[in-house]
Amino acid sequence: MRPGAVLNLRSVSHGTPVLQSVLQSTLQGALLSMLLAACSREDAPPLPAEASSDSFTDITRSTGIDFTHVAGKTPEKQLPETMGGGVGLGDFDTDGDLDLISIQSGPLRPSSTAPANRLFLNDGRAHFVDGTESSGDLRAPGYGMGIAIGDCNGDARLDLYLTRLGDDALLLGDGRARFTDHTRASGIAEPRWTTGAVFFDGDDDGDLDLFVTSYVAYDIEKPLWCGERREGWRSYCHPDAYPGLEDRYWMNLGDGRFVDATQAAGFSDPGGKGLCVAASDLDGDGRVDLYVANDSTENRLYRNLGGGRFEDATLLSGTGVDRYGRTEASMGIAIGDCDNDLDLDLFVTGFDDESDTLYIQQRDFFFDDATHETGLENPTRLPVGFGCVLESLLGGPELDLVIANGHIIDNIELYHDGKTHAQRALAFRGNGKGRFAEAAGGDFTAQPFVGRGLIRGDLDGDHVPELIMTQCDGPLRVFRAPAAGGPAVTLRGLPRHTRVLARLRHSRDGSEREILRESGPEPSYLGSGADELYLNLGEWRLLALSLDGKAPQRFEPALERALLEFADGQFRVR
Amino acid sequence: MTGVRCALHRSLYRSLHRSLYRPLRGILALLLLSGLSMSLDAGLDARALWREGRREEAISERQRELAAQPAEQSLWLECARWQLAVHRPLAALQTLEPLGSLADALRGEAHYKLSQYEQAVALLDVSSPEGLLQKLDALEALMRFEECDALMRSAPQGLWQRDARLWSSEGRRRLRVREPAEAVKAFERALALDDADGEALFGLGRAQLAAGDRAAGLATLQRHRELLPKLDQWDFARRAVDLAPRHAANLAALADAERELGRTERATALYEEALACARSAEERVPVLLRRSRLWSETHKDPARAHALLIEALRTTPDARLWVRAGDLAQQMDRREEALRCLREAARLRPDDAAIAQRIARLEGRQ
Repeated sequence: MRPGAVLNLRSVSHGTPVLQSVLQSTLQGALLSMLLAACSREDAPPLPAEASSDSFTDITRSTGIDFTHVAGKTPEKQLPETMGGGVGLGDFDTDGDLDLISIQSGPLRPSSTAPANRLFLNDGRAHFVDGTESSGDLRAPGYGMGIAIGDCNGDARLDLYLTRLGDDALLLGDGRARFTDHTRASGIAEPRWTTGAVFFDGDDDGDLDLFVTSYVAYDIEKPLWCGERREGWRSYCHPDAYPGLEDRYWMNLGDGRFVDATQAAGFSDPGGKGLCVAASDLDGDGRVDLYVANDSTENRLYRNLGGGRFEDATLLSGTGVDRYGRTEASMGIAIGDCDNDLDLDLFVTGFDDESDTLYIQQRDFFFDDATHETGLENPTRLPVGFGCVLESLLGGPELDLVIANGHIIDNIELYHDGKTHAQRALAFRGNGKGRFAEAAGGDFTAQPFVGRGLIRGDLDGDHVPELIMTQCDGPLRVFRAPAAGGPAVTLRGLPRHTRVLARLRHSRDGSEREILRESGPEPSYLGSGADELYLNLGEWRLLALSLDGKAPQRFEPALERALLEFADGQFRVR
Repeated sequence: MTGVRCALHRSLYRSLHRSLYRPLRGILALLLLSGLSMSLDAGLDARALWREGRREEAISERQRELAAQPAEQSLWLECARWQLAVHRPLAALQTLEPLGSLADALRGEAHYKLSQYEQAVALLDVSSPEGLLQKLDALEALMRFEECDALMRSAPQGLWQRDARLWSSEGRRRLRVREPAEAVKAFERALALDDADGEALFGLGRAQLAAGDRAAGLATLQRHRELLPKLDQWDFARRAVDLAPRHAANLAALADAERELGRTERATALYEEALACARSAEERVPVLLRRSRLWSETHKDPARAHALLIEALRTTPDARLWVRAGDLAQQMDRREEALRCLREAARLRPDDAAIAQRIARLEGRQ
């Protein structure tokens, strides 16, 4: 029984044993139990999944994706068990739709019976079949963390980089959903605990380089004891208990080999505890910059100077810490133009009691922590945020925000009675002017999850992306967005991290506006979202598209629903 | 739904209170007096447990006492305060449920800890510095900026004179309304009160940049970056103390962090507190060594450091302490004293090569 529960019924200012006895005899039975439950959070029923325009629908069962993450939990409360696994989307069998790879962790020590990563192949209508058996080295054992997806050898087939607690793997895809381990031949040797990764062209030479975040130096043979020393109270240690590790930048030599160019390129973050890296042309100069989310150490923003050189722009940008100058336990990253001023803003999820953080870009690389002003401070303070997506999901072209939440400590309620391990996800409707209001969310927010990865991609070909959420030690979930079936356009085949300016016309009043989007894929947390852009139009129609400031390509008549393929410098309607 | 249930609870409670309590008022007055004295006696036991750091036991004991003698309002409030201190805001709200408006401030604090800011701002007691700062924070989080600004203006002068956090809040407000020059002044006032205040240092750097002084802004932000690991160390230690406030190692770690931040008075007091909490020589010795370092390195007073060690050695004979005392004596050119200390260390650890080497060096044999 919760401390103080019985005491509820007793008068304090006026109470005596006599009154207590009268009260108790009067209220015994059903009323007693009802009142005792009155203020108990645990007894609160789940919120109903309301059918409204804000409602996501859980379609996991109908997709056929039956992946359950295994954390391999131990009595020693080993920190890697808290991380969860990533999820990635890409057309791995080259049939024109998005397939899915889910990363498995599984027991900390290698085992022949350990569950493997899984590959699910899409029929184009969000119905998947298991392609794991013939996926080659994707099934190789290893305590998995994250995934990066990209064509790193220029053969037009998607390759994978898998981060792990232990040796990472670079897998080359054959375009027929089969992967071959190329790690040793590539020159990449990464035995440390790595987490986030991204393929991006860091040196403008046309091939994809790789940036990998490393977390902490951790020895599973020497687990620390954290939390109270009594039965059931042992807890996971804070990352401050372990030394951080430097991230690595692997430069692609163009012949299947990579070299460690971390220092030469200007990256430096000794002691950083990286969990996520996002690539984006944040200053719009045509070169791809990097933002690294660190757990409890200062985040890093690297400006791409060109020629494979980067500079640490964190201090000037204000994105290393929150508005109070405090480091945060930064987990996931989403990038988008939240206030429609045609530059990109940064959203970073964080730990409990410190809120997630939205950095609004004011001018060239100068950001303000605008979490309070955008309405995100209060609702994000108590949960622990992980995966996050900025995307138009609730109708209309404004960017909405969705966040997967879940505490890392599975007995947190012993330490704080207002906190829980599983937590409700959050959905926010954006107004396009930098303000977000909490949305009902339907199945997405109706019940608590131990949320970790969260990515988006159009699985059923209706041009509105679905959400895929992974859980730590729990089943993966797929949600259909409320805007599904509405006017929308998909842009496919864009070069990575390209800024796209879309000109829209209102279908009724004829007014026009521009919105800025950037091609992905987005990492969210340990993941890799679809390498496609989705323009959810609502009452607007697509008039023109312009890439990286080049002359716009106009569409007559304006587009309402379409798949646009980008090739040879222009879009073609498919 | 929970709120509706709570309202129902309160309504039922009030109704029962009217129908059952009023006729019994006379009898109750007598019983209350006797109950009050009993509960106060009993309260001492729970408090003793609390003082010893056995916080959950103290709360359980207090609940047991209150179940038997529920008359004393202040004990209920104390119980809720304890529950809040051990991160049981929901339990605290339940404890406070039957109390009247007297418990509003604590209810406000509980709601604040649950990020239920709408409820918190209506209840928090702004006459206490913590209550005021919590309400400012909650109002900001709710985007009720005008109320936040008005509350700040109404803060007592004394608080402005001693609390850097208030000046930092003012600095952020000035930045929000695009008055960077005023923001610079506010953050400088905060730093005048605490030059290791990371919030103020970061705010100052941002304000300087916003005011167009790029060089000064970047220099300040670089200082902030250099301070960050120390602030993180402090925050980590603070959280450990929060979980186990009577654990000597936790208190000593916080003292270390305070020392790193240059807050030597706080560090000194925390080392003393850690020593008071140490329950064995194994817990005491590391704290004594760190305290001696504070005196010799930070206060530059090796004589005091040495004297404190010698005093501690009377009750805690330990080779490590003798070695440190010997080193300090040597540092002060007191060779004979150094030798005496090291020989004492060698007596306790006859096989320790490092001690033997030190002695040999002092005796001129090496």
